[in-house]
Amino acid sequence: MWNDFIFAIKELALESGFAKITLLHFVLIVIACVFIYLAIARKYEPLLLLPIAFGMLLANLPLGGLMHPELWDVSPIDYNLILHNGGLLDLLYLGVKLGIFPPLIFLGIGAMTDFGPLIANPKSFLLGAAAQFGIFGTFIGAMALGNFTEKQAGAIAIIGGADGPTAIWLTSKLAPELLGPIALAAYSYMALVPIIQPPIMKALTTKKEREVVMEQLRPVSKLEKILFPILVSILVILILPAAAPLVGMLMLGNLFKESGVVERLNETAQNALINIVTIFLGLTVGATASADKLSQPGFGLQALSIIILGLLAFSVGTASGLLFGKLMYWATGGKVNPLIGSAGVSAVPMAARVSQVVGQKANPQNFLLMHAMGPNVAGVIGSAVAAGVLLSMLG
Amino acid sequence: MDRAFNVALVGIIVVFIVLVLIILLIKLYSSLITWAGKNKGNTAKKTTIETKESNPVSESNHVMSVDNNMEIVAVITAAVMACMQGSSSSLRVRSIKRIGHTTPIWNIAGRNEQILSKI
Repeated sequence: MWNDFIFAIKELALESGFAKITLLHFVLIVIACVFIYLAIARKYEPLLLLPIAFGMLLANLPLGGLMHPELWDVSPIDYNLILHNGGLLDLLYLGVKLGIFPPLIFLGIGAMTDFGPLIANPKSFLLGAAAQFGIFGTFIGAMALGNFTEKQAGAIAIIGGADGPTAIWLTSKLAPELLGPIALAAYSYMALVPIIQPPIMKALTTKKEREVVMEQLRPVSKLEKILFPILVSILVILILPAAAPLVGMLMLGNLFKESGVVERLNETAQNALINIVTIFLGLTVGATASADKLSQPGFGLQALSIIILGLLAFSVGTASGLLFGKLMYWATGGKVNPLIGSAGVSAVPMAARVSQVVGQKANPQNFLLMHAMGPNVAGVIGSAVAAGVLLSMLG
Repeated sequence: MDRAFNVALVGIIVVFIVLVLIILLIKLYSSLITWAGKNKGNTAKKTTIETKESNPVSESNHVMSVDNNMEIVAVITAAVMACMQGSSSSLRVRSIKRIGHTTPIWNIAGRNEQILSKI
């Protein structure tokens, strides 16, 4: 009787996660808990970081069977096997792998975005384009390092787009094996925009430039706002079909908002839908950072390089946006405040708010927010276009 | 490495071309709309003035039927009076008209932030 009892307990212990846990599992569980702490106590992008961190925690508890990296690390992927043997997170990960979640997030972003400042001042598009130098500069940097393939370099470079869904979408297409570190780097740097950008902004602009008060934007009619998503979709997708999922969904969401006739769809896209997809996306992206994957040789060095290259991408994007802003300042005879250029990296609306804060420090009477929103949303379109270019050239 | 420079160069050029084309597109349709609006505006102005003069009662009736919620009217009136600190007899509601929702979403977000910071 007693022996049977001991035997049963022993069997139970051997089948528990404790028997299978490794040092790397333990380290990753601790890291996941640190991220959970940062999300809850420090409020670092909690809406994303919390599900990402918990996904990481779940994936590193052995024998849970929620995620099976071995099912995804084969080529070609056997989707039939995943559907039959996959865990909960494997099935949700299909939405990332098949490129479904990021465009759905873009639908919600489109429904929340006001393109009015951009339509009122279309020149802002140039700043949104200039900030994409960060992406292509980092691509060259990643290739120069030599420990990444061309596709991996493209996926790392997109961190410079400062746009989480775009980074996840392109990485899932080009280098899914790097999804975890790239998504974490992209979202972490986006949360750190108020810390990364101001020193670069102050270093590259003079006080006189920062003090420039810009002219009030003209009011934009409803018709212009309705035509914008339709015409931009037609133009961009015809030129660059690879950008269709992101640009198409972004513009559909915006049309929901601006048309004013589908309030229920608009409401769903910008609240329920985007929140549901964010939960799925965060959980599964976090779950890709599992011990089984990270224990592969050379992964640690790659992850470290991604973190450094990501910072480079953000900094180059900010600097190139600012320098183009300076160019516009000179070209317009001092009518454009170069600070709005840094908002071209996207990271909506944080980057625009940083322009506003830095501008107001130089001149308390200055309100740059609406002017910075133009390059900011142009940056979203710019990084989606850049992602499409990278996919069509490297994919 | 040559290939890397090529990809980067082609990439940034394509991004610029696409975004410059969008700028031209916006400029084109904005000027078309402004032009069309000016032409229409001249004739429309006259007709609206005429209809207002000829049938002012029916218009206000229509507005009332759409927003016939007197409780909200009473609450807003009371709030305005409380802010102005005047006597209740000095204020009279003559007409109620719903104004179109034209405020940009970032303005609304900014305003909400301001209000919340005061509470």
